[in-house]
Amino acid sequence: LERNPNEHIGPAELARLLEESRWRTGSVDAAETHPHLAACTSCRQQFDELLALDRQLKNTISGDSPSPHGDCPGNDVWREVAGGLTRPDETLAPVEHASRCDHCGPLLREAVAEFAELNRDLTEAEQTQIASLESASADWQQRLARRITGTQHSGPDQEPKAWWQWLSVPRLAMAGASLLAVIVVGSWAVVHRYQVYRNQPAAAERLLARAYTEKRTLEPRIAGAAYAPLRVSRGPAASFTSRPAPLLKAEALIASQLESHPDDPAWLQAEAQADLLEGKYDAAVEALRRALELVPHSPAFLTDLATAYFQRAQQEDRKDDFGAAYEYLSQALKLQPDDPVALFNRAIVAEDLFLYQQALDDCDHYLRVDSSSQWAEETRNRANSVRKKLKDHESKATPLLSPAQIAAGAMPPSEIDQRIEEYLHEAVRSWLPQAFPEGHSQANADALQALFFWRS
Amino acid sequence: LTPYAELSPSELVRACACSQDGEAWVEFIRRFHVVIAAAVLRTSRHWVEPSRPQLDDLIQDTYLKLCENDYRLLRSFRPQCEGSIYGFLKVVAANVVHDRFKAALAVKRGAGQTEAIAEPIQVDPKTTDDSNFEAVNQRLRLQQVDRILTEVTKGKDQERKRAIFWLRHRQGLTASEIAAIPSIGLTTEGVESVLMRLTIMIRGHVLGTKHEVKVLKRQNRSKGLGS
Repeated sequence: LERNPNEHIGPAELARLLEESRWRTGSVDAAETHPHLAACTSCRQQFDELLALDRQLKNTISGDSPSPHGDCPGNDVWREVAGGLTRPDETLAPVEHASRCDHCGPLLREAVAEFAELNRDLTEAEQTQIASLESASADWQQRLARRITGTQHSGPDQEPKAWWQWLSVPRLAMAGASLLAVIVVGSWAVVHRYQVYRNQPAAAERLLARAYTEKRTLEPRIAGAAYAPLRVSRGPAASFTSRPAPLLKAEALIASQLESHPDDPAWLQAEAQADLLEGKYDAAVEALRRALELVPHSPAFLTDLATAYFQRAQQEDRKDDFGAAYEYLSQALKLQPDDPVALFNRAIVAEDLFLYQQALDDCDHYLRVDSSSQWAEETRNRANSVRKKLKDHESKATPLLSPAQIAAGAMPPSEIDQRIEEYLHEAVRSWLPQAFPEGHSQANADALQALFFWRS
Repeated sequence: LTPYAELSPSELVRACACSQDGEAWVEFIRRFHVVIAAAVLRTSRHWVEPSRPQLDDLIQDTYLKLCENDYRLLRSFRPQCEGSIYGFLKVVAANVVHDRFKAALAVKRGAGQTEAIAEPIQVDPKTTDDSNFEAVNQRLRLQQVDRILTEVTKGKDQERKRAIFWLRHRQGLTASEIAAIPSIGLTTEGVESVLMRLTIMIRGHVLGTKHEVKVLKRQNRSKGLGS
């Protein structure tokens, strides 16, 4: 179809013209760029203005490639980004970094160009060259496969003997003994395999605990993991080769076992823990919910589910998930009140929910259960930090009204309602003992009146 | 044909990573040989015109790299889509080739002349070489544009829009190069369109008017002509 030269240039076409003009050297004559621009002042002005700004920005491109900064990712990352090996949401951070970094930007550009070249279709000459390589032969490929797996195929075939030639007495005796041995070994293998299977979730659990400790990226604990300081992942996503080796091993084990045992709660929990370490919180929530359907009151599953919700809440700023995390930990602690992992984790969640007093209570409870480990040290630090926050909060807040002031109606009830939790706490802690003292002490009339006011 | 011939690429990778079955590897090599060989061939050409034995060696090294440390690389592979394995193998092959030629170059230069590996350094903005007036001026211009950009891209997809803008205007990537980055998730036309809209908005801010895209609509065309 012929284009009408009187038609204004649409956004897509204008964008294309700008892109083409950008890479031309020297001045660009709009009229020569497109016939419509010669005729339409409005479109030409728009084009010229945009091109001028584009040129100004082009002049800011730095020709230097400085040394890497502390937050620059490793050089291998750029080929992985260009090759699409990481999830788009993980890749955006390094891409954004490269867009502003004069060291990484050229590396990304180089990787993109290299990958574009690798993705081109093979030419006929290349196809011929590849086909002529020794590695293209079936023999070479089979030799390599044997080398990789370390296995050797059977030797040259021999002429088979007739079956009756084997029927001699010593051979029959040997066959009988062999059969017996096969039965014994087979029975042992079945029992052993069962035991191995039973031990495998524990093996995965140990691997996951090691992975957590090697690279602790979660603030909450997972059961069985030794202490490690929290490593806040800095800058863009790490390379796919940087996952801890135990995590990779555990994932291979879990994947192979879940295929044959998709509804085994222990494997579901292991899968969820691996997802947590990978940062796949939705998947972790899903797996743990399934595990809890199978074993509804497992403190371990409840604790891990809380961790999944907490991590997802932090990642996606989902307020409901913070509440869910607190709730599941409370359920776990109802079942096992002194569980150190659940106590440790609930203190973290409570702090994030600004429930400072509850966080402090959990820290204190934790330190009664475990007072000497490195986890205890971290808990002490958390408790100190929460205490400081509470102190700051108290110093900034106006003091609560005294019972006498409340009785005198010094403040409207609506303002008291705004601090109802604090007044309730004060009433229980201070006014009640004053209003109804033990022994022969005299009751505080103001406190009593304040309590009546409270009731009304 | 072995049963492995019926597996999807991801299933075959998993079978190779988790078992010692030679048949799985025969199928793996048969299926992916051309991908690896092509990546090795094209990457090698950045360095030299490779001989056939050299190519065979590099192809073998790529397979052995996949098997190193108990198949660590294969086990680390996470398919993003069914075709991800091809990108993955190309990346591994390219890394093997570059590493091999870099090492050979270092040996050739001799131990005393190898290039020092650049250590990451913290750059203190106060102590960088800003004595050049133009450099300072340029930095200020970039900061000003970035401030405007941050304002006009507020909301959904801000990071992606900013990345597209600076990849183009600071790093000099073309729209098609930007679109080739999988995480950008746009066609070349899509990138061009984003760039133009951002440029128009920034232009509006620079001129002190917050006007939106001023491209005339097609139904009002005749009015604007020749005006």
